[in-house]
Amino acid sequence: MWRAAGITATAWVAGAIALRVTLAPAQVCPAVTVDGARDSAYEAAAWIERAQADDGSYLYDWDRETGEPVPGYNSVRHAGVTMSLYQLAAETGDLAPIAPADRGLAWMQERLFQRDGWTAMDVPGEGVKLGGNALLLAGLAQRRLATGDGQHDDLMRAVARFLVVLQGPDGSFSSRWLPETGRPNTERSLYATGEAFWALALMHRLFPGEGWDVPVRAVADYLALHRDEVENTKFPPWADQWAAYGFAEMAPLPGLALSDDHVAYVRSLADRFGFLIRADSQRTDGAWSKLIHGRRARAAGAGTWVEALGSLWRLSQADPRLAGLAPKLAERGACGAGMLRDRQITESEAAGKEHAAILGGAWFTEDRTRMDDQQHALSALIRARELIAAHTGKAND
Amino acid sequence: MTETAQLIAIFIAAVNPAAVALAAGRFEPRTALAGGLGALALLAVAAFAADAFLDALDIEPETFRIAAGVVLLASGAVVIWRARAGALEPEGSPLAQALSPIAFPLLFSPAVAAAALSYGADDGPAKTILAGAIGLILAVAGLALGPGRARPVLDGVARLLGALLVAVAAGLIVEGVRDI
Repeated sequence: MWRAAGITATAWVAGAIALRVTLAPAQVCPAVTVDGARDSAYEAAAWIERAQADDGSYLYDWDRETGEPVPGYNSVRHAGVTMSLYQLAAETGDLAPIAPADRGLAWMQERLFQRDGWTAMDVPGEGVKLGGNALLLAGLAQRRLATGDGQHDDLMRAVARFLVVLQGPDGSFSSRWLPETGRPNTERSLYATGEAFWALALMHRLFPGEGWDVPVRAVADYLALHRDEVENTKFPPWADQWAAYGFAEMAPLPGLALSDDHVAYVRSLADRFGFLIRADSQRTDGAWSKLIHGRRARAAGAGTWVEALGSLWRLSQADPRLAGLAPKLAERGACGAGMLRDRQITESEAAGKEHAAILGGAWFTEDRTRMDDQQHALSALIRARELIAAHTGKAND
Repeated sequence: MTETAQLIAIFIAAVNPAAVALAAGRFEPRTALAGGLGALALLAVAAFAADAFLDALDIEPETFRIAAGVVLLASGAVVIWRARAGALEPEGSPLAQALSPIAFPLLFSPAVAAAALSYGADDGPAKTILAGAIGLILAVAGLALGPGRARPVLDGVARLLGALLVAVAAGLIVEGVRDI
């Protein structure tokens, strides 16, 4: 009898170990402070500025094994990186990032064209994309919030009019405008719809009474009620941090209070991003973890999750229906911020090494860093400060 | 159905009194009761220690639900496939029988342990122990009465409870994935 009990106990222990190494490994959330998150964000911004060329473009992709840049460029990511610098200024009140961001803006301004009362960026080889133009607009909005400077107001309105041209009757957006036909295409983009949502919400915030709330409400309804079905999302909801940005931006605005359907959708986004953080916190760089759980998310991925949690946390402060989510949002956001800070190569770690200027402040995945790794991590960390403060109860170190 | 009633149903499925009755030969009522109390003690320890246990393992309750769900899923699937594990004949002293096999592993099975930890962390030890106690009471009754001529009925009930456990497991796994 005792032998049988002993065998059973051994089987239990073996089963528990199997569960531990597969489904229930430790979730590691490195500690991070408000000041630490800010310092990481600034190191990322410094990387972007150091990696910027004279024409305003940025170092796109770099391989530390070869010590060489990887050919390629992407105007949507260029717009996103530029936006993140303006966002840093808007979030901190520090105007130092404005200069490199303005150089990035100049690169985009050289590629603008006008038609039918609107303005858009047209990049050779890429075309007239919704996403790039939406992030151009979002960046200009962040610049205005940071500086109060209205010199680009007309350009903002013109780009916003372009975005509205791409919007369909159901609130969705086409992903491109086709010069050969003079019409929008019939495809949608997983990311660009949310980008346009956020950019137009920012327009309504900055220019209330100009009618930008109409397309905002239409796309909000599309995202909350139809997008996942219409666009055949495999495991809904699509992890759309730009949608989170958009809902957080619209909620406090007059006339754009969230509907119950919006709130339900936002809750589902919170669940999704919380799960993504939990899952990635269980991954290590070890071979066994990679085999069972997959590779750790790159900063461009994990950064978007923390950006989303930051937006959702702001929503939880603005809308009482979401207030109950605040503690968990803060916990998951702080965990994500801690993971990002822990995985960054700091300037002090890079000091004295070959290519220190490109190593320091960057995040690498399999020896590669891409400019949107720094973009999303920067945006995530600077906005995570309030989540860290809420979670730890400490506003600074 | 209230949350407490749901929890009771979950623990009845996890304990599966019908499968317990089929698996055991007839035990003396006192021995069965002693075994039931032993299993309840183990369940109570698991429920009270759930938070500390998960903290020690650095696992969030939401994540542990997925692991617990897999254990419940496997347990339920085994019962559906083979309702009766095999007749256990009483041997050894009554106290020895009460400790093993009755308390462990017959009544405090992997499914009961996983449920006690997961629901102990989520719903609190009091509700978890109450729900577990009701399942254990039914199981102790089954042990004391033995299957007798109700064997075919118990076989069907055991498999139904196994199917319920599989459904509960699926829900737990989905919750674990979907929650923040």
